Amino acid sequence: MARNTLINVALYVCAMTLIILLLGWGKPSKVLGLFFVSGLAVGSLYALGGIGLVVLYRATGVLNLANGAAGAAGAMTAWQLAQWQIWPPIAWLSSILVALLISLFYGRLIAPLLAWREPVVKAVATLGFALIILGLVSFIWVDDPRSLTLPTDKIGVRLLGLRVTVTRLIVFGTSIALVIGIWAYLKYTAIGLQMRSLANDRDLSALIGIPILRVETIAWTLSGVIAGFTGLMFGDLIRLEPTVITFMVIPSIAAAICGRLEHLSLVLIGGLSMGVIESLLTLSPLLKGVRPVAPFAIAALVLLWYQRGNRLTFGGGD
Amino acid sequence: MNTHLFHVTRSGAAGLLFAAFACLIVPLVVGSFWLSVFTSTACFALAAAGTAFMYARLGMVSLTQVGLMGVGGWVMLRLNYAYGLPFEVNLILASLITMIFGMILALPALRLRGLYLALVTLMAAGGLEIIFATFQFPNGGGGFWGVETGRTPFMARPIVAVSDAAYLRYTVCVTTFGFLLIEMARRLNPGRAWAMIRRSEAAAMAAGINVTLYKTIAFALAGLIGGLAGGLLAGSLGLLDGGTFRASESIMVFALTVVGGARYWLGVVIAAALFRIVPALLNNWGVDADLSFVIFGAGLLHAVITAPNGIAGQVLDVVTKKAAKPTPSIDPSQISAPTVQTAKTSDSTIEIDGIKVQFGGVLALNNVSACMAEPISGIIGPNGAGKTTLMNVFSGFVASKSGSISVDGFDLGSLSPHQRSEWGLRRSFQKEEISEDLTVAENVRVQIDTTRQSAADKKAEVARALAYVGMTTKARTSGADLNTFERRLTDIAKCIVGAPKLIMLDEPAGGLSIQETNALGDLILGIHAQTGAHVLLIDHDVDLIARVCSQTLVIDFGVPIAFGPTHAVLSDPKVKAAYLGTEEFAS
Amino acid sequence: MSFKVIGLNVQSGGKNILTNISFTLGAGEVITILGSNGAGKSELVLGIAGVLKIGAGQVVVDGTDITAKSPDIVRAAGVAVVPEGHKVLTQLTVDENLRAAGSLRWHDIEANLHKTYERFPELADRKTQLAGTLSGGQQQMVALGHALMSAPKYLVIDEMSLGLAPLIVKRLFGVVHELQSQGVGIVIIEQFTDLALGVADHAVVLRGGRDKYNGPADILLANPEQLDEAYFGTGHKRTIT
Repeated sequence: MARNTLINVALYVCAMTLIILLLGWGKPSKVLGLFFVSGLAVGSLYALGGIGLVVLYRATGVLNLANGAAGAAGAMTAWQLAQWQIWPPIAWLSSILVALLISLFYGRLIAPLLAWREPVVKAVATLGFALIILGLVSFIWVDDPRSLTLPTDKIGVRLLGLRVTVTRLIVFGTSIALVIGIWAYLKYTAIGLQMRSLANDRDLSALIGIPILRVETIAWTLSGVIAGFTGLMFGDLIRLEPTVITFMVIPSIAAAICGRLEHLSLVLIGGLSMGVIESLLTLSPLLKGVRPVAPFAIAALVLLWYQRGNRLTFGGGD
Repeated sequence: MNTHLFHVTRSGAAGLLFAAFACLIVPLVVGSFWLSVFTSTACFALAAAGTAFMYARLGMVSLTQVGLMGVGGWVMLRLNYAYGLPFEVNLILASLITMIFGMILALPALRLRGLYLALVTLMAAGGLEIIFATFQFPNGGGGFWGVETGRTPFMARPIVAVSDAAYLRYTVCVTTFGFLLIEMARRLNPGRAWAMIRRSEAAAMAAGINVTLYKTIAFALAGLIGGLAGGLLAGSLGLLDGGTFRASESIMVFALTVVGGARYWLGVVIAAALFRIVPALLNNWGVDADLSFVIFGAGLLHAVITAPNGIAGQVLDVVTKKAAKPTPSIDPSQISAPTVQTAKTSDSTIEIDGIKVQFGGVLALNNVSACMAEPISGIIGPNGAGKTTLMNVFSGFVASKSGSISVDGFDLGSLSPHQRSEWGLRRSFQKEEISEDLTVAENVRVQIDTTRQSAADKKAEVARALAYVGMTTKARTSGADLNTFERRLTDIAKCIVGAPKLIMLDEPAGGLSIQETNALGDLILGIHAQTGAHVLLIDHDVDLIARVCSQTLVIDFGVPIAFGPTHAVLSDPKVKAAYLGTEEFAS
Repeated sequence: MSFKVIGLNVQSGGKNILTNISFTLGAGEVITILGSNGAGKSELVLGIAGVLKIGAGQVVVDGTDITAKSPDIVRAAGVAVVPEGHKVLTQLTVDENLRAAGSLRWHDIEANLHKTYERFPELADRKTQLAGTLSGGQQQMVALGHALMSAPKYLVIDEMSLGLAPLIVKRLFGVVHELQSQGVGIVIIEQFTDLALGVADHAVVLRGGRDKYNGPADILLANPEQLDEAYFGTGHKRTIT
């Protein structure tokens, strides 16, 4: 197993170095640095989305395609409250609260109805929910260009000769902090242990007395909070548009795939790499047109790499 | 036996009637706006049919269908401007190229199932979306991409269908053709193979199905249909836009197919209608199109939670009562193995030589060897002893670290699982693997689909096998309507059809009553006389083993502890100790 | 103070797998459930545990009705079910496995953990080992440990000796005996009839989902034909397991 990991790490380092060299060849290092930083910020968003998905998937078996929609609802709420001159921190918190409530609603009321179905069916159901949320959000906030700004957008910091906005630092920092925090939570707290137990074997966990409902509620809550934060940041850094934010769940899935729907550190690395590669592709006049394909291509390649050599397994499926 | 290939069911007749209505009546009564909407609906119905059959027949979620439509549309447009070929030729070319494209996209997906398959197809759809957005659709410009800003596009339509009304008729006809094509495939080999694959890939391989091949055929067919739909759409709209073929649209089409009901043509039509007509209606009524999302989402949730067969399923439940009177269950006391005069003697031998199987740190089979010359041999042992694992080695599902299995000197290890079936290996599993999507006769037919006999010969083969097990009256019964005994009989029929050399039965008497087990025993006794094949029997029913098997192998903890004539083995104190626990325990 | 199963029907896949099963277990008593494969022994266990659907009848623990309640409520009521197959949480360590099972009794967890390690020193030696890498016998100890962490009043154990070497089986039955002497009521489902009848006070023999014998265990021990009859029936479908 260790040998496999070593191969994967070596492959990753080589591939990334190669890509960065190829794309950045001949460009001034300042420009390269700028695009790199921008890529890290976007990649952090992908990673955050992926982390929220994986935490929930491991504890409940649900791949929540409505994560993005919940985030979109949160972001729009924050924008609306800001329009009404509500004190900004309340507006930001409301983003998280709205996403949390939406997640919890689904997790407590709808998900239990599908508890014993296969993962694909559960995911398709969340898709239905995502459409409902997206429809309502788009209906309430008519299609108009809007923007969300945070005070941290204007504050910059000098790092290695580059100017980085605090917003980007916050996003990047949060993604790392979240990975470490969740890892510690799962490893050292009782509820974290119960979550890991659920992820390992749900039926056995129920039998040995673990309060399934309580643990799952916590997982939905955590996932909702992350979705709210990610939606808000996405609205600020990229675009405040419900459809766009809703479908950010797709590159988040790509990041989650890099982590095999399990290892948060890999989700982080995957997400960050996707963001960086996507950003650096702008530097290439030839490839810049296809830069948004990057997350998908990477996810597909990673998935295939993980599945290589797998014979068809028999006796039941996913 | 089979539904005759061109037999029209009631559902099919209704579908054709509907198509006729759409073709003949509708274009006369609607205005140009609705003509365009209906044409678009027909195109998406065609595309959705591809998604639907993959999901309903194979259980595979493929989210690239709308993207493939885009590919078909793109090729159609490009060909339109490039050469002066007729519309039909362009359409066929576009479909074929899209089919190949679909097969290439499918290559990595062939190893994945369930959620991972859905995700990888989603990634592919996303990729296609970006490519369309970047490179746009041809509008008459030069070069490979054929795009030039400011050009007015001109799309040639078929000679017979230039007007919008005529084009709607044309589209409906082609769409109906597409539906029929899928139905044809379902009635032939691919359909039966898909049904088995959906039930269990292992059982499919054991039945001789090349799973990879048939999955590829499915993707190819879906690609063909998608390309056809895209080409038709290009003909309707004249110029295509990348926004039509977004990944999100693919997701929507899949979602709506589930809502409508993936198993039925009606469901697919409902899906397309929801996708295209409802937003148009809402627009007309001044209702915000965003609300259509809410309706679709609610419909999807409802369908997933309470109505797995979709709206069409619920409609059909109401409309069709169970018209056919169910045939009476098979009575075990009526079954007797037909006496065959020519008792074929077997001088072939099964050689199991030093089989070792390791799972992680556990040695599941430890140096198992036996030379089986008798026609019917038994394998017994406590739960977890390794009996099924041994059969899995025979089947080729599990690799043995060392040793070999040969029949008459021929090493089975040189063949892949589905090749072993062609060689003559048959297997019935602990849990009977009967596809509920197929009739009894079709289930049996699957086993000999790959042989080179004529269709008439195969029909006769199946009839003979069914007659042997006494299931002739149930030949047309769906697998879903059988009881346990009848399923087991169908399993046995599957094992004896064709020219079997070695038949393996894994706990066939599980869940059967005393009379049913007796009937089963009779059948097993007659197999060798009927077909000349060896039989390997695993079971816990000692009476059955004693009655049927002339020699028996006993395995405990992966180690062979006795082998020889059955009565000797059964009275061996070592064997009794292994099962019942001996005096050394009760302290 | 008793564990009563009254007229229980257990369903699976829409069909009645078990019909009208009844028995009463007192503190410190042992009942064994016997029967061939497919007789319904495991379904009885899963029905009591709250995993399979109950069609009719009741399960009552010390006066509390726990029929068809969810698994964690059943365990909280004092009935710990150990399913067959020595199931453990494979990706967690031995210690984590036991702590997870202690979720029901947070306040007592350290005490229960200590007691469990005392009973199974083999596990104490392997606290940080991943449960998935343990031997079958050690995994069965963890599975029993899961149950003990909830300080149960009644223990239901399904095929504890399946696939285990005789020495380990002896050890485990020793533990069962200890528990019995401490007042825990025990239901054991076994395929080794001699072993089970040797420790049990009362026996229930299942065949085809119904009980064919429901009485003192020593009678069956003394009269093997009666055991045979209940086990296999007059149709002589004799199974070894």
